[in-house]
Amino acid sequence: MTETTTPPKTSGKKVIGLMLGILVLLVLFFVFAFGLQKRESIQLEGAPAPEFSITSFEGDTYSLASLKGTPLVVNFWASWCVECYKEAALLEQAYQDYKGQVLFLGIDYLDTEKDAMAYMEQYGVTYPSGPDIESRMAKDYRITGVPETFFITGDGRIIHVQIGPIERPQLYQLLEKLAATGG
Amino acid sequence: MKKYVNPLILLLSVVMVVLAALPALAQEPSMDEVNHVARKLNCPTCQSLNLEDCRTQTCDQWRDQIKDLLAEGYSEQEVLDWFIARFGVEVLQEPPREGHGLLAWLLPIVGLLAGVGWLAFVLNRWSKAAPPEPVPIESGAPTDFGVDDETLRKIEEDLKGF
Repeated sequence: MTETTTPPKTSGKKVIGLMLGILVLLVLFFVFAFGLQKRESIQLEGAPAPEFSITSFEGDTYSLASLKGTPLVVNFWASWCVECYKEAALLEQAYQDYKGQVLFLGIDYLDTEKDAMAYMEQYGVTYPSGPDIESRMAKDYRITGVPETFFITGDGRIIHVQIGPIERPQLYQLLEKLAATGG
Repeated sequence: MKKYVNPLILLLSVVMVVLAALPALAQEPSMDEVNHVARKLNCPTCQSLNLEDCRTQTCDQWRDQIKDLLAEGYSEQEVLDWFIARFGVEVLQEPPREGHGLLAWLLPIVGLLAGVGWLAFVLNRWSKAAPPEPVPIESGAPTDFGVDDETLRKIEEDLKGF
């Protein structure tokens, strides 16, 4: 009487191959997880402000490099943004009060020029504002929506990121701090 | 003669006004024309909606912009190019079939072909794999269970009783 049985199938090479496969999958998982990690504007507080160059609706160009030594209030807004209306008059008033000490810049986000101009006229906005071409600045500043306001010292450091409309006491407190950093 | 002057001037004036207004009337784009372009653009503030279907204020403004551009004589492609230049390539519903946008079109096809190729390779390999060689075991030798043939035969006989 003769019987048969099969030899064990597991080989060292297969185990190594399986482990390598799992390792590759793990690496891919972490790469994707890192890519999906949310980066928000608030994380920029205390960090150097990202470089920018923006041309206002009047045709003047402003860049962080050219404004070195000038404290900045960079406000992202849009004519379709209801929350932006709430702070428009306050920002204009503050701009007038700190003229020569702090420069205000409006960054018009995902907006059309016609509506932007109508908004500025309606709310009496006189500080320079310009369209954010290809939303480049919005991406660099990682904004989560509008309005969002960045307070940048004369040496180019972000001291505060305001998500949503700002209130008068906080705005003037921050402007005092900014004005002290002007060169 | 004099009595015909006034109606003639009036007629000429009407004709001139109509002629002057004709180009403007002819260039006023219809909603269908606006929507035809709008459906190729994304709503900038919401997810997965095209500009034609979205009813937010942003999209209303963008559709007005399309209408203005068409009225100025822009072609459909020129309107799309205007939006790309102003807001970036992300505004398009479909990525462009050139440059980096081409990757979005090609990668799924490459992935699918790679998957089919891999499956074909594996199935082919399995079908050609030789069956494992049987290992002869001498009669009477203990099996893998450690039970000899005689014991197994007795067990099988006993089981028949049930």
